[in-house]
Amino acid sequence: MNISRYPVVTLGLDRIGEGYPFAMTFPLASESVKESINKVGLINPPIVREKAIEKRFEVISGARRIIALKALGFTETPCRIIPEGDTSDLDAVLLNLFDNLTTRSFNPVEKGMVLALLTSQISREEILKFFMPLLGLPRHEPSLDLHLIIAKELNEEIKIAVALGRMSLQAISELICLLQEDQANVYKTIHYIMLNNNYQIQFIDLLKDISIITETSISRLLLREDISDIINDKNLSNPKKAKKLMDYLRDLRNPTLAMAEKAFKETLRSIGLPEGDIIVAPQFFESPYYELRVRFRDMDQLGKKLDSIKSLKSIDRLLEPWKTEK
Amino acid sequence: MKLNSNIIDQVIFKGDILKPCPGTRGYICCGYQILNIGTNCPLDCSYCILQAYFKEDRLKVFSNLEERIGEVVREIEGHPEKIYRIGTGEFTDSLALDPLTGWTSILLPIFSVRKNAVLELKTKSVCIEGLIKSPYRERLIVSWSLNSPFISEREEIRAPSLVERLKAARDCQKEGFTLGFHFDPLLIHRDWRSGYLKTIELLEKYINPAGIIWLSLGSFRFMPALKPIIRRRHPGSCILNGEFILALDGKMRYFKPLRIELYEFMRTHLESWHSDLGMYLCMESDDVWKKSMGWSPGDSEGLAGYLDSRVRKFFK
Repeated sequence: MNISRYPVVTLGLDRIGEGYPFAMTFPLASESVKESINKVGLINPPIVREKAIEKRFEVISGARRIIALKALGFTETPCRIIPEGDTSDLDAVLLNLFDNLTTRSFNPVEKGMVLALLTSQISREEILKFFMPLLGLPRHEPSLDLHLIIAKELNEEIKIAVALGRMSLQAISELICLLQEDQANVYKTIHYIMLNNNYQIQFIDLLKDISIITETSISRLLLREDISDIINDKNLSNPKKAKKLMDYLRDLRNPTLAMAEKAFKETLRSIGLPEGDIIVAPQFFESPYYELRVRFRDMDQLGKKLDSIKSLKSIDRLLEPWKTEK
Repeated sequence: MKLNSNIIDQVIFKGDILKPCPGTRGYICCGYQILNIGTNCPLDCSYCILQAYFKEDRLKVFSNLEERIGEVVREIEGHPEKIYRIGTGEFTDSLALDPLTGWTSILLPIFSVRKNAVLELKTKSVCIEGLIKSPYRERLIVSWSLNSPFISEREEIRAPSLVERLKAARDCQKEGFTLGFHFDPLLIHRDWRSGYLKTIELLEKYINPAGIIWLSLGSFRFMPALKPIIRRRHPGSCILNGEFILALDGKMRYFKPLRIELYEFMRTHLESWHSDLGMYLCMESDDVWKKSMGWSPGDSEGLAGYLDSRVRKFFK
């Protein structure tokens, strides 16, 4: 299709429908487009398709510009009109896609919108082979499915977070496994505490696990007094609140490990190591090797400290702290 | 081999036909050799690592097995000082596909006559007809994976029941086969102690322990990437509910004292049934060995030596 064969004409905005069936822009409303039109006018005329029977026009490319023009009070717009018989739905999708690709990259929601438009027109195999790479996506089914879900199933608030990069795709792939109500409540908490991407993934994973183990819905979990007290603690900054919440959920998820860590800390405090010295437990107590860090200024002090540490019989209790707790 | 292509793909295998079990750093490995005969498993247990290993869920069998088995024979014959403990149950169930593939008819005559090798066929199936009909018994081990009845019913839904498996094991034992058992993965779940005791009681009922060459214990461990796959493919599964930590080899394992408790419990009750089961831990650390089993082979070489001695004891 050669778009330049269709001349730019003037069309009343009231004749253009508001459904935007080929839109691949999210969010659609844009202050920057309005501002641009206000300052320098419409640079690039939209492309519309004539729907002769319905006596109206649908936007193929330029939905954001049309919305901005309407919002600014314009009554008509320059545009290129393609007669209905000249273009199929697939042509319209491709026209809009390539028009967009020449000027910008897509956010994950928009990629999902493109893929959703394409899935109604062509096979998944073709999409995986040609269009996923075009959108900068790997050629595999889970990625296609994830983007389709992002576009079709997430609520607007979460979509905006995804579009603006506030939620990573990895976090979203965890979030979409939840019920819609849980998705919304988890997102609200993530947004409220401003959890970073790494915490978001862990937060959702921990909530899922605890929910299954305790047979409690995630939304109910988030309402639990102990958890909501942390979320709503006005004395903590967001980063501190995030850390406290994550630590709390981890302890709830792994109570035996939490007890062992607590017992280790308490025992370490009580055994009377020389000042400035410390014993570090292996991560999760998995390796059999503990570390002793001794601060000394000369060989004489080192010898005395090591002798003193060797005589501390209660060091044994540090090595299997879970037994101490029992 | 003529197979129904709707069920199974026949492919020409070009990789290493015999490979040592990769083991993982920080944990003691038994030094098993994997004979590659096919990939994927029709049983689809919820905890199975194969879900993460293979992107396609179709069963694949290697149509050039007969041509390539000579490489294995040459390897074994080239090292007469070494004992090769070989198994086919790493990337597929050893016997579940036997009625379709006839693997036993290819493998049994070859391994039964090697003096420095044993072939272990690990399975959860009851497809033992090929074995029973064969005249071969020497240097062959038929072993079954066992779990608690709860896990068996809920997480191994396409596998035969425990009783069916143990009846098949009993039949093999009656027919003169040496047996092995693998409690792997041991899973912490509601009433796991009474659950595993029931399985041990079933073992007592059906099996003569003197004919067991070895019995392994291995707690559930998994690559982190398997977790979302299990959540997606088996949403009702309880296997991820335990307390897991990121272990030294990058896999998730139960927190150490929980593993020790599991093993110690199993060892105590299995030993009270029979004191010479050739019990060993699969992929565990030296300190877990000592704390749960009361001894340790020290390292992978030590464990391999222990299992080799079991081979010598059972097959003169």
